[in-house]
Amino acid sequence: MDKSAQSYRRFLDGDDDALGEIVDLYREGLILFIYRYVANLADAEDLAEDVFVELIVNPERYGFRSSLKTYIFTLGRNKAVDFVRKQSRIRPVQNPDERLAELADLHTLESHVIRGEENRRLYEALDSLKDDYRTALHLVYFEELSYKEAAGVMKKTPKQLENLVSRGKKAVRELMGEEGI
Amino acid sequence: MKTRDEFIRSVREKSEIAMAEKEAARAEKKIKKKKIMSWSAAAAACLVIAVSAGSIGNIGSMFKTGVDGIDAAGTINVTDMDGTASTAERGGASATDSYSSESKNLYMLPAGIVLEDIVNDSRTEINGEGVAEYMDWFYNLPDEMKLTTEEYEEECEKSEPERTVRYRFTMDLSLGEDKEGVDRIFYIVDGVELP
Repeated sequence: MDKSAQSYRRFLDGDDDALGEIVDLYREGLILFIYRYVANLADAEDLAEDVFVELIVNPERYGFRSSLKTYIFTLGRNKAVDFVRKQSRIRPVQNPDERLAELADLHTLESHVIRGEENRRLYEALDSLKDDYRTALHLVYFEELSYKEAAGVMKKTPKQLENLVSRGKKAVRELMGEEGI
Repeated sequence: MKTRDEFIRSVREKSEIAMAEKEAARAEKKIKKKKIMSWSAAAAACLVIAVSAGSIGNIGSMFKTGVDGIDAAGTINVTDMDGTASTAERGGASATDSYSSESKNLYMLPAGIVLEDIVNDSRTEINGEGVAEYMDWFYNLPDEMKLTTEEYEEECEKSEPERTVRYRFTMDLSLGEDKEGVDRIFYIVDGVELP
């Protein structure tokens, strides 16, 4: 059982502080991951909260079968996909001040999650990739999930995930020149 | 963006609301089950009375057309019943009221069907002639391969689910001009062959 799953077990046994430990481990990474789908930081934060709500309200659905991180990111992806599907095509336009504040928050968040200049350049390059490539590379490189875990989050087989990563890397190499990844 | 503590506070507040809703849904489910049991008994009693009165022909036609709220298997859809005898006398069966595994041909066609592949996040909308084909397919599936929303939720709550759900099957039941369409949702397990 990994560290976060142990914290979750303690939380379910009545240790309220253990929830904070899980939040500390995954909050920022999860918000950034969801942001890549919904493209709005407030929405991403709201959906990330819903993921933790799910852990509290429906603990029986986890069952300690996979790593807690995989489970949390799977929930995050599902909620993000549902959100994008349901949301109105017409979105209210943010006023410039709000947009600036969001960009500043996003920059802070990225600097916490994306470490190092090389990763930073990779992260920016991901914006130009197809959704599946981007998600696969994000999970493997920035969240450091194994291929098997990332496949679980994306509801793919490990082989499919391997192909996505391989093709994603090729696309990044084309974008970034020989440096690539 | 919220601070860590604000985030946790918000999660706790949302959780309290969600817990209360979950409890309310559970309580409602219990009440519904009780109602179904008592109305099933009432339906059985009605049939016995009808048989003893010698109205076998009428019972035959009841099986053929269905009675509002009562299906051919004698169970009652409590959402259609207000608890009075007059309700049971109204004619016309809704699409799912008249379904049972013994009476496959009694259903009315829904206005449309949406088949969602939950695993692959894909969605198919079926309208027009395709509806009849999908309804036949759906009703011919063995009972253990299709779950109601309640059964699906119960399955989700199990630590080791016995069945892997693959599809969400939504029927748009338009019940007439004066009634709004109502969705009836079932879940279908993995491994079935689509029409």
